[in-house]
Amino acid sequence: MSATHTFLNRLEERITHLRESSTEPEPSWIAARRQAGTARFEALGFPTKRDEAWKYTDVRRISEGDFALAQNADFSKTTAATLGLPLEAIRLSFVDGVFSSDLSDMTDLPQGLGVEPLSQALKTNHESVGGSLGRLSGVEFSPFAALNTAFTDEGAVIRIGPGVVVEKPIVIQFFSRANAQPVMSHPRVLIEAGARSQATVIEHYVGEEEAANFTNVAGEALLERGAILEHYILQEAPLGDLHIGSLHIAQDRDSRFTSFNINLGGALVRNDLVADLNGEGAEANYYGLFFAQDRQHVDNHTLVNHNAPHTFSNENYKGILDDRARGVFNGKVIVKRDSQKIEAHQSNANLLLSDRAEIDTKPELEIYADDVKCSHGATTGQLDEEAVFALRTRGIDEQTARGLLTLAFAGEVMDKVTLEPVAERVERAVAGKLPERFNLSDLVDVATADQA
Amino acid sequence: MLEVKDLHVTVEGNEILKGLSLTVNAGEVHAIMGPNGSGKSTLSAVIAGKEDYEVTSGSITFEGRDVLEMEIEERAQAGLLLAFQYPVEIPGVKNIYLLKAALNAQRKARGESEIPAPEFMKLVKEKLAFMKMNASFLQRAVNEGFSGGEKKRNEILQMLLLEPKLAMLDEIDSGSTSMP
Repeated sequence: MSATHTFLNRLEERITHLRESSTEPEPSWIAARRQAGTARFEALGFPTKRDEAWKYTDVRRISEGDFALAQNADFSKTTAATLGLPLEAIRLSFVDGVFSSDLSDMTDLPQGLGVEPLSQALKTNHESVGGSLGRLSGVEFSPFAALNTAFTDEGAVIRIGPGVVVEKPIVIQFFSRANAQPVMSHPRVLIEAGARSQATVIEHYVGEEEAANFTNVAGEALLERGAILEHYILQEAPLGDLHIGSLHIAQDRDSRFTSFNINLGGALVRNDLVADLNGEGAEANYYGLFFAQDRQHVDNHTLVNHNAPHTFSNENYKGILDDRARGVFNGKVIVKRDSQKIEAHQSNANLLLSDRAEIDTKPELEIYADDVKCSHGATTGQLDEEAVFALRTRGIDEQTARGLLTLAFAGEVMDKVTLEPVAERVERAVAGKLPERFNLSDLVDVATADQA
Repeated sequence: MLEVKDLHVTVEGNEILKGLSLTVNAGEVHAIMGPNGSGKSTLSAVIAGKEDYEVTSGSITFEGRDVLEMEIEERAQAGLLLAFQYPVEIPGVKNIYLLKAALNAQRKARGESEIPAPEFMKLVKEKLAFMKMNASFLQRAVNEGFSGGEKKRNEILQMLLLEPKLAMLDEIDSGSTSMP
C-alpha cells in the first residue's frame, strides 16, 4: 500500500462518518472539492527531496506514519487554560482538529464580526463560505494543500464586516493531545477582512508534552480595500508534533497585512506564507522567529507577489539553532513587469549556537519592473564579540553574556510584536530554551515584574 | 591599589605604550592627559582586558593580584571598572538585564546571594533618580539610539550601581550634556 493510500483510507473513513452523522446531505460543491483535492493528492503524492521547494525538508516521518482521526474533543479546561495565551480574547478551540465549544468563547462578538467553526459554517451558510473557500489556497499549491482540501471538514471561519474594528484578538487554539495512536487533522482557516476593517488573529499551536500528532493546516486571508490585519502563528507544538502549514493572503488597495510567525515547537515544521499585493498601496510585513534545538527541523518558505505598482513589503526573519537542529529559510519576492515604484526589503539572520546545527537560507528576488527599490540580505553567524566584551567588562561571565545576546537577537523581532502578553510569553520561552548554562529566566522575571 | 610597571603594549605590530608606569593609591584621583594617539584609551582597554592588545612586557597588579592573568569579568568583579569612551550599543539587551546580571555577578564573586528583585528595583530607581534619568530607560536596549550624553550617563549609572573600587573613566565628559 502506498503512502498516499494510508491517508486516503482515513479520508474515506471520515467521509462515511460525516455522512452517517448528518441528517442532511452535504452541499454538492463540498463533495466536488473533496474529489478535486483527492485526485490532486493522489497524482502528486508526497513531496520528495527532488522537489525544489522541499529540497531540505524530508517529510517521510509524515508519509510513512499512520495517523488516526480524533473522535472527540475531550480536554481538561484547566490544562487548556494553562496552555492558552493569557489574553482577553475571542476564542475558537480545536482538540486534535475537533472543534470544542467548551473551550471556545464566542460570546459577545461585536456587530459585523462572524467567528465560527467551519463545520458549523458549512451547515448554516455554506453558499457564502463556498464562494471564498479555496479561492487562494487551492489544490494546486502543494500536495499538503491538496490533502487538506480533500478533507475540508473542520477549521475556523472569521468574517469581519466593512469598517468593523475588532478590539479583542481572535485566538484560534489548536490543542494536540498525547494519544495512544498519533492522530492527524487538516484544519482550514478562512479570514475575510472587509474594507477598512481592523483585527488581530492568532493561530496558537500547543499541546501535551508527549503528543506526536500531525497537523496539516491551510489558511487563506482576503483583505479588502484598506483592511488592516495582524496575524500571528505562535507555534509551540509539543516536540513530537509534525506541523505543516500554509497561509495565502490576497490584498486589495491600501490594505496592510502583518504576520508574526513564531516557531518554537514541533519535531518537523514547514510553513508557507504567500501574499499577493494586488492593489496599489498594499503593504505586507513578515516577521519571523524560530528557535530549534535537538533534532528539530524548521522550514519557512515565504513569498510576496508584487502584482501592482506602489506596493510595499518588508520581511525580517531570525533563526536560532542549537544542537543538531536544522533550519531552512526561503524568501522569495516577485515583482511583476508593470509593478513600478514598489519597495521590497528582506532580511534573514541566523545564529548558530552549536557546530552541528545547520541552516539553509536562500533569498530570491525576481524583478521584472525597472523602477523599484529592493534589498535583501542573509547572514549566519555567531554573536557580536564587541558586545560580549562590553558585557564582560561589567563582571558578567562569558556564558551569561552570550545568553543575554542570544535573547537580544530574538528581541529584535519580538520588539515588533504589538501584543504584550505574546511578546512576554515568547521572550520567556526563548530564555527558557536557552541552554542551561545561560539560565536567564530570573532576569526575565525581574524585567516583566517591573513592567507590570 | 593599582600598580602599572614598565608597560609595553603593541596593537597590530605598532608599539603604543612604551614603558608606562603608574601607581594609584586608594582615595587618589589621577588624570591622564596627552594628545590623540598617545595611548590613553589603550591603557584603560588593556587594564579592562581587551583582546586585540598585546602586552609585550611589564606588569599590572590590582590589590596585589596579577591583572593580566585575570579573565575580563574577574577584573570587573574585583572592582576594576572601565567606562568606555565610546560605549557599545547592544541592540535587544535591556538595560535592566545588564544591570541585574552585572550586580549579581559581582555579588556572586564576593560569595553573596543574588539580590532579591524588589530590593534590586529599589536600588536601581534610587540611582536613576540621582542621575536624573527616566525609569523607562530600564526597558530600553543598552545604548541603542542613545545620544552621546545619554550613553555617558548610562556608563556612570553602571558605576553607581556596581560601586567599583577603581573606576577608569575614558573621556567621560566628551559628548555629554550636564552631569549631576
